[in-house]
Amino acid sequence: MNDEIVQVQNVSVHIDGIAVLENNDFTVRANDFVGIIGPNGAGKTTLLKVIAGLIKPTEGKVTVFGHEPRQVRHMIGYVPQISFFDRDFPISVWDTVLMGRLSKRSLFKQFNIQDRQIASEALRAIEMYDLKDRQVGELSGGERQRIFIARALASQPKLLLLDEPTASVDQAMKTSIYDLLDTLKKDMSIVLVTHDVGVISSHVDKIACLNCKLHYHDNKEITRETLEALYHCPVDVIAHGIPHRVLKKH
Amino acid sequence: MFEALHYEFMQNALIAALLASIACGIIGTYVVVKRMGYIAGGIAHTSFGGIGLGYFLNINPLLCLIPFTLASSLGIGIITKKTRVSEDTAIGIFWAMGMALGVVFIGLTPGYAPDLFSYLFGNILTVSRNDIYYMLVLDGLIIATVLFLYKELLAISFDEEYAQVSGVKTTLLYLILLSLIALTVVILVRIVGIILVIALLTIPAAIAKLFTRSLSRMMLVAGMLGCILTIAGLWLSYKFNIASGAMIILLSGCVFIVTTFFVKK
Repeated sequence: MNDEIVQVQNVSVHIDGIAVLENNDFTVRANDFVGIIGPNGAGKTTLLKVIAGLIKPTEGKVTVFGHEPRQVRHMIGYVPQISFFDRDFPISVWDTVLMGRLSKRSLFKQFNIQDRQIASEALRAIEMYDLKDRQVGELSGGERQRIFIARALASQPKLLLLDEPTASVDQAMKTSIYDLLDTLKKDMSIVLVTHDVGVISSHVDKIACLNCKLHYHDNKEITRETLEALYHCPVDVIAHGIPHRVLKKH
Repeated sequence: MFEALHYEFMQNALIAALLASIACGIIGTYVVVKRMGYIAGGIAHTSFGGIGLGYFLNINPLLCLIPFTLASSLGIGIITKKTRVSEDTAIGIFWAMGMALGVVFIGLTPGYAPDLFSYLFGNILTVSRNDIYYMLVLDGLIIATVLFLYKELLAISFDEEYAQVSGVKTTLLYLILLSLIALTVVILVRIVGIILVIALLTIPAAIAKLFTRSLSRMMLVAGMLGCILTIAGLWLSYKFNIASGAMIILLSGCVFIVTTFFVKK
């Protein structure tokens, strides 16, 4: 099967002797839009970093496009979670998006006209070309998030990984980010990590619930009923005695 | 001051100020945006060991300073990246050990250590033609490296994780950046001395950051500011007969405080 874009087999990650992920199997197929949900500290970010090749699994095997993640970096677009950000950092929107071309240009090489063209296309795709000369620190949280998505798009990925893209973003902007992802999924597979269970339901094709161990719901048809069913299942997984604000008690 | 320009030592001082400003404009910018002030201070102080070694071996301390400072900056870098020791602990240990080594070497050297004070606190008026040639070469190295690695260095300064995902060898780049800081320290030692280096590495860039929106522009503005501040400081020290290194730093610090308070971005 070569439409298996990401294959996570039996992967465990231990950090300082503590199991963050345990025995996870996970598959992403071509043009999938997968949402990974779970409580804080469930290992969502870790799983995404394993797929991005930032963290090596302690056990198990990860292949992306049939190779080790590190070897196919030029095909992966990564949108990190922004927890800390220096608002005064002297960098323009343009230079930030251009950074997405980094994986295509080797050391000592300058960015060329092609890189600039692709960066402008990426900025147009998120409808922020007019803001290209702004300093990134002057943008709102949602605008900045879109810029980081544009940066990932500038690398022309076949797999887009997003870590909490809608954290600290207002509702209107959240919807527009999901709409953007909806249009992107015909060109690439998307894996999105979030604790934002409410919005994710109407956009993703598949939901994986993660709390150290993954529960994967490989549903093809999305109806309200199946989603209801999906949410009832993860409640058990997510709750594990930890109250989760989004999910009702039952 | 203009009549003083006829003296060679004054000409050397002005050229040295210019060369030092180039280095501290470029590298100071990275130190400020990547918040490496403490590590830069650590590298600077550790280099005292190199000066002591220079006295002990009876060779030009500046010549001895280059390998010693490079080695210690790489040492700090590797320990913080590859072991579980936290960065500030590693820096603190290197900082003190470098200074201690310097003291030991100077103690072992028979006789009096001439112009030791100028290495600690700098004296731009004692810069020789030879020193200027060293500085020229080091400046050239710094400019060439930053030109070639600009996009990678920008990426690791702004978002190290993204740089890593893009396949940039972040640890190697970080070590290169530390080496560049080490070379800048060597250039600046003659101007303001080991103890005050950190001020020239941070103040011009920190002021420039208030006015600029891109890294390259920040380097340019920081370089020009560095030039103005060192030459103005030199002039003041000449006029009032005060140690030049200290005067340059005090002037820079005052300008920094004033601009920070009055410039709202």
